[in-house]
Order: sequence, then structure tokens, then C-alpha cells
Amino acid sequence: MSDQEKKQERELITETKPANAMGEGTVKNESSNGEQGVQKSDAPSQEVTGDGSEPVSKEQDTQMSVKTLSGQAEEAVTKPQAASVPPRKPAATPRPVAKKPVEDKPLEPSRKQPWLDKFVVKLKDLEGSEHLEDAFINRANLDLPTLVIKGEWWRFLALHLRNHSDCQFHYVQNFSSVDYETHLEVVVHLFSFPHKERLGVRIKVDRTEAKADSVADIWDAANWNEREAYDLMGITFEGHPDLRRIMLTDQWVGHPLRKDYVPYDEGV
Amino acid sequence: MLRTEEMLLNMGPQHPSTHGVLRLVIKIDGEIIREVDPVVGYLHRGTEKLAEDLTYTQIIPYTDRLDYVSAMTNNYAVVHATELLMGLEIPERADYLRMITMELNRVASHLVWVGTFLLDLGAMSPFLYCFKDRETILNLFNELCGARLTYNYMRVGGVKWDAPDGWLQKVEEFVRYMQKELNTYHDLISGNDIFLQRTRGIGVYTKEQALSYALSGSNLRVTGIPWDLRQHQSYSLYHQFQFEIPVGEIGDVLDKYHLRMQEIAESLKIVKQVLDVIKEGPIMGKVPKVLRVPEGEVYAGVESPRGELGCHIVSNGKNKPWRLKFRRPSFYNLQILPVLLKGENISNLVAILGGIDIILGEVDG
Repeated sequence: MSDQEKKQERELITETKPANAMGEGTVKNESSNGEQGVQKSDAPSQEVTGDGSEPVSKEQDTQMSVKTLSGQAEEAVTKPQAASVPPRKPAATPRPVAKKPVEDKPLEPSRKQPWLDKFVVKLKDLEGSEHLEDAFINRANLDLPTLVIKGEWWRFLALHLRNHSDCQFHYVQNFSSVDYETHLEVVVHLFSFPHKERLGVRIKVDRTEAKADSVADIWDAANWNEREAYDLMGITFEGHPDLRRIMLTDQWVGHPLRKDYVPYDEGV
Repeated sequence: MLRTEEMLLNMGPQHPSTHGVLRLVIKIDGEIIREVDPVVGYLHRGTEKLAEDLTYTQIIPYTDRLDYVSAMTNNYAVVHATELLMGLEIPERADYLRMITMELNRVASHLVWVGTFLLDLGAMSPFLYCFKDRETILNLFNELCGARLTYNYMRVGGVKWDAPDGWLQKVEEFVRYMQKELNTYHDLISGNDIFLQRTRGIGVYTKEQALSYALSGSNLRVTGIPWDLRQHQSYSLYHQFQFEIPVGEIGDVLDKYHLRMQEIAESLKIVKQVLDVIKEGPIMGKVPKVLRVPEGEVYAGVESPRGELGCHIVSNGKNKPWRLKFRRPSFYNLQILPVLLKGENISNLVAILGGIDIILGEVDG
């Protein structure tokens, strides 16, 4: 334990060093330098997140979101205070300046909160709205309203978001997919030109079955993106007009962006 | 009437006018294109997968290789998203240096486009003019960060190197020179009859199509939608400066040429304004040596020369991203190609493809 604390202290000291010390002149140097840093730091960070007293994890709670639906708002407020009780070893140097103002943030509601609340009330009236799991404001992402839904509802919601006069999300800013190991997620960031609103939608997909409805006929931009997600993440989009691999060869085995992906080698 | 037969034609992946390794499988009936199937992925290096095993600083040089003619903007996309997630404050001078380099890079990138596009259409000399002026920018970058193409210049929290003595004066000289030089370009190209005939009225699409295909950058603005992330989802310090968003009227390839030329002028305007206000100061904010990004998710888009270049980061609180995804504008913009080419004469293929302005390093990720 004392060893670990020493390591933490060393990190704290390096934090305040002049910024020029970061990274070396060439790419090569830098990568080797960075890898050392990785090995050094990986172990302590894992242990620390376990006991919940590490400021990094405390901040996540505060920074992530103010939850509206699941009634965890009180929890979000109380947690940071509780987390700050176990005193850290008095470090020789102060924490970086940028971290402090963040702690105060969740006390005041986001400027997007009223909009999201209204939006969610309307969504609740829709058919299948029990699939809406969460709706929150992603504070770190410049107050991005975010919905978390189950995969079954995605196509219905997509049609609503695209066509309803309150939404008119005609523009797909980003189409991404994430492997959370427990489940997969398709993440779509939408933009509405008439309303000038952004919206993030996270669609939960079962990991073993990995099926989602295609929205390629709703947004043309989704076509290649779904092919990419199929190719690299292994999500099958049902109803897609032409679901083939797009980046890798047709004979490729496996889906590289899955966390448990192992390259297939015929010779082995 | 002559009887024609449908024929499959394979264009690429080693075709000079595809600017990289794009393969187009074209079904033609006589000289009319019936169907096009772009085959991409020849340059796929798995940047997103690689990034999961790299620290945030180590990712930056990999982004240089996505859109290799505007590496500064790529640097910025990933650095910007990381900074948002960490809630970092950036010193003013670092932001100004970022803006100068990004806008100069935009000029360089558009010059490459003008040069190679006209080369595709058979005009040799504009290419030489463009690359001569681009060379000046590359030399400036070389002086700043020691690289001509893959800069690896930005860091989370600031930039790596400060401008050397006299560098800002050189930039100012270049801006003044380039603003005059643009007239030469117009004299050389804009009135050329062959150029006009090859570009006028082709490759037109509607606003609705552009939005549905999520086109961005010049490809979106050419339809008349004044959408520029520098103004509308303001990042860095762009809100401090005056510049216009040029839009197209007809939406053909000729419009795209004029649009990009105007964008060069606007970029030079921004650089000039930044040069007026930039002051001495620190170039790196207070950043821990080991970047541990708080848990969370962020998507941030920036306006690259090709459109909205976004970076989607999912962090689990470690020093490496759990998932990093690039929204690559060329990938989105290329998707509309089969629609544009359907029913076109095959002689227009190169002009329409060139008009989209794709970089295969970015398409394939």
C-alpha cells in the first residue's frame, strides 16, 4: 500500500512539471516513453477505482449526468461529498487547476434540462416507450441530451425522430458502436436543422445475438455505417439492403472491434 | 439505333484519378453509367482498434495518417474531444497557434484539391501553381514542428512547440502574398472554357439528399445550407473572429470549385485576424503527465477541409480510451457517389468523383 501511495505521489509531482516535458521530439521516443507510463500506472488505478475514494472516479459521478428518470439525482449529489471524506495523503503539490470547478457543476441544472424533460414526456406517450431506459444530459459533451433505449424500439423511435414535426432529426452526425463486454451499443448522434438541437441515442444490443434493426432506409447515411458496424463490431442489421463487409475482406474471420477478438491465423 | 450491351468496367484501385486506392465497379451501357459500386477498405489500417491500446498522446500521430493532407485538423479532433472529457483549460496562445495551423492547413488542403482536380480534367499548369504555394505552407509547418505532412503537433492541453522567432511574420507575409495570388488562380482557371464545360451543371444533388446522406463541409454548403461547425458549434476561439460561410447556388461541380476558392480566402482572413491578437504566453495548460481521462462519453465534431470530422470517445477512466471512433467526412461524402453517377456519361465520372474531394486514408480509417 505504501508503495502504491508513493507511486501516486510521484505522479502528482510530475503533474505540475512544466508542460514542455511532455512527450519527446519524435514519435518513436514518445511511444516508448508512454508505454512505460502505462505499465507503471495501470495497476494502481485499478485498485483505486475499487474503493471509490479516488478523485477521478468521484468526478465521473459528478460529471456524467444528472439523472432524471431513475431518480438517482440525490445519489449523484450526495456521492461526491461522501467520496471526499477519506482524506488523501497530503500531497506536496496541488491538484491540477482544471479539476476543481467541475465539482460544483452538477448543483445547477443544465440549460438543456428543460428541453429534455419536455421531450421525454412526449416520448412517454409513444407506443413502446417502456423501452426507454434512461434520458440524461451528458455534461462533459457540451450538454448533449442523450437517450438510452433497448434495441427493439430503435426503428420505431428512428422513424419518429426523423419525421415528427417536433423532432426533424434529418442529419446523422455520427454513427458509432461500442462493445461494453456486457452488451453492445449502437451510438447515433443526430442533429435537427429546423430546431437546431443535438441528440445522442444509445441503442443497447444483446452481445451474443447482436441484432438490430436497420435504419438505412430512414437515413441514407446509415447504409455504409451499418456495414462498417457489421464488419468491425459484428452487429447484424436486419432489413439492411446490402449487408456486406466494407473494410475487411469477405473471408475475414471475426469482428476486430469486439473486445474478445483474437486474430484468426490459418497456420496455427 | 446502335445496339449496346451492358459491360462491367473496373476502375481502380490503382487508378490515378481516384487519388488513392478506391475501386469502382461500374456497369456501363455504351457510354452511360447504369450502376456504380464503390469498393473501399484497401487502405484500412484499423486505427480505431489500434487506439484502444494506445495512450491519448500516442494516438495523435496515428490521426495524422487519416486525412494526410490536413493532419492538423485530425490532431485537433482527437485532442479536442479528450479535452472536453477532461474539462481542461487551454492557454490562449495555444488556441491561437492551433487556429493558425488549422487554417493554413485548410488552405494547403484546398490547394491540393484544386491542383489535382484540374489535373484530372487535363490541365497541367494549375497543379504546378498550387503545389508551389502549398510548398510555402509546408515549409512553414516544417519550421514549426519538423514535419511536412504528419505533424503530430497538438497535445492534450496545448501544442507541442511554440512558434520560432520570426515565424509569425513569415505567416503574415504568406497571407498577404496568397491573398493577391488568388487573383492569379482566378485568371488562370475560373474563365477557362474547357474547365467550365467539364464542370458546369454536373453532379447536382438536392438539399434533402445532402442531409440524408449526412454530407458535410463544401459538399453540404454547395447546396445552399450555410452550415459550418466553426460558427455553429463553436470550438477553439473561432467565435472571436469574423468570417463568412460561402454557399453554392446551383450545386454543381463548378460551384464546389468557387466555394473552395472562397474558403481559402476566408481562412486567410481568419489567420490574419489571429495574427493581430496573438500574444506571448504559455503553450501548454496544466496537464498531468499520465493522462487519465474521467469516465464518460463524448462526441465532438470539428470542421475539417472535407467536412465534419468527429471523434467519439468512450472512456472508462483509464489512460487509454475504451473505444475511439472517428466520424470521417470523406467516408460519409463518398456514399452519395453511386446516386450522382447513375445515368451520367462516363466522361463525367472523373469530374464528379474529383468534386467530392475524398482522401482514401480517411475513407478507410
